[in-house]
Amino acid sequence: MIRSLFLLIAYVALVGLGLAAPFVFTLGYIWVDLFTPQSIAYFFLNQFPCALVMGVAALGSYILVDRRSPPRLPLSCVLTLALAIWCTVTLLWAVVPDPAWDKWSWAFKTVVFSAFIPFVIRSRIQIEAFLLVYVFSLAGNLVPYGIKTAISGSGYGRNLGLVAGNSGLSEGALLATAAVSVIPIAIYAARHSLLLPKHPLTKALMLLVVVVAVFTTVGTYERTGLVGLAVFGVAFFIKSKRKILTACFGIALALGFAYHSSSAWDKRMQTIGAYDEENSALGRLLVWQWTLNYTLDHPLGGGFEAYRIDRIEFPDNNKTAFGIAFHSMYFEMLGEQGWIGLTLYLAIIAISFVQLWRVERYARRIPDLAWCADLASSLLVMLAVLVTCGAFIAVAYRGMNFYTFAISTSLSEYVRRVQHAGRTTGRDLRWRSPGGAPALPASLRPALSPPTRSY
Amino acid sequence: MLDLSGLVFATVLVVFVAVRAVMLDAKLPWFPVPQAAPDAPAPPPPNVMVSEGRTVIPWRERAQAPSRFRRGRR
Repeated sequence: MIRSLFLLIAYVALVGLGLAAPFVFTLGYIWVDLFTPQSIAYFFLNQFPCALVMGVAALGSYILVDRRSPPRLPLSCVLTLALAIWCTVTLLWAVVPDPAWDKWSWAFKTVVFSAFIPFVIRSRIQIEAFLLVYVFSLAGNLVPYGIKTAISGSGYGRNLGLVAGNSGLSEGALLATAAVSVIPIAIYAARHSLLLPKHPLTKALMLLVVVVAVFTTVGTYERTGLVGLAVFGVAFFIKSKRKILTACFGIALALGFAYHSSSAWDKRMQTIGAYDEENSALGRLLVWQWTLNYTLDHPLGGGFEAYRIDRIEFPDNNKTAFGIAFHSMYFEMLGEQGWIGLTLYLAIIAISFVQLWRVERYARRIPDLAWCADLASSLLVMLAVLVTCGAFIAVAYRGMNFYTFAISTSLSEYVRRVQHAGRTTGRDLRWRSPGGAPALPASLRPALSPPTRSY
Repeated sequence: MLDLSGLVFATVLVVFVAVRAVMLDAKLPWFPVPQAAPDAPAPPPPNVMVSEGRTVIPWRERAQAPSRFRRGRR
């Protein structure tokens, strides 16, 4: 009862703030989508269309009152909208129509809303608020899971989080992926946050998020989580300025976990190498093979939930299984949306990487944009974790992925606005150092290039 | 009890971030406008091009100017 009332107050507070500043509706939508208060509350919110109201309010308020500095139409948004349209078109030949409509109803909303995010999240404060809401919404599940794991241990298939059932964040592999993905953003926020007070407690808060994220990842007993942690470790090492310190810390952490981990955890992780002996891993390989063969015959895909028609024969024990899930977001996209859908999806991922890489490269030279460079670096690590873990879980349409693509575009468009402002004033940002003095001596500075034709 | 801690943790911080974002977004500039370095040449006035030390009158003025300007264009 108190829990439901508390969530209702928070929901009403976000709606009220949205009336003052329309971008808060978008933050509210992210909170509703990732934290899912409707599945935690016991009254009102569990029957109220929370996401629909926030989504409509976000779109409506943007169109009516909040169109300051809109970005140009970025290629990633065009491709995202094209994917949403294509997902709808494939419903025409969906092999299992009813489940396909069910999945379309939430996947379509997530994809379309992610194309809208770069239009409403434009300033530094908005970008940071979006990322912090992302981190804290997921932390709602990570805090109880991580603390329970630290206190009493965990086990494979155990649900220690906030959400009940076996879907969404109550599913171990997805939770492990979400947990690893928040770590780079929490580290970034500890360094650069404007929204959180500059206080040792802020750093302690972010350290807590990182610690519970690591404990949650380990506590799920998911091999995907271990892969995610490994990718995070390697990417963080590559991006780190203090490589020796990072390497020593990483090795110490890994040894600590290896020493303290239970034999059940070790046994579970060792099955990564025995992919041809363990049914779960072998089932994945066989269903991927089935998907490839299926899309060679049906290049336009089988629509949402097409995996339900698969028939997998295990060679060793002559067992036959039906309806094994894709267990990979790439094969999920291929099997459901065909080669066109997979091409669009891979193009969106590739554009996100290129955008972030370009932002990092450009902003690194400009003191005013140092935070952009660090954020781009963190988002690159996060994206690397998501696309790697996504190879082993069917999360193609999950908000985590699409929100990361969207915020990459928001950041890229932010830097483009700054560049544009530099061009229109005829000033080069590279000339400025943190103290306001020229960063380069006059002899080394590039000549002021004549402005382009002003007509 | 621990479930409740996660719930409170997430919700309170999300609302706190939203409040701070509303306050600061109205106060701070959306993006930095580049500042000229102290010894950098002043930018040219709008609608006038500077090329190799010569001031070039844009096409609208040039079209209305005496023919010597048009000769220069050819």
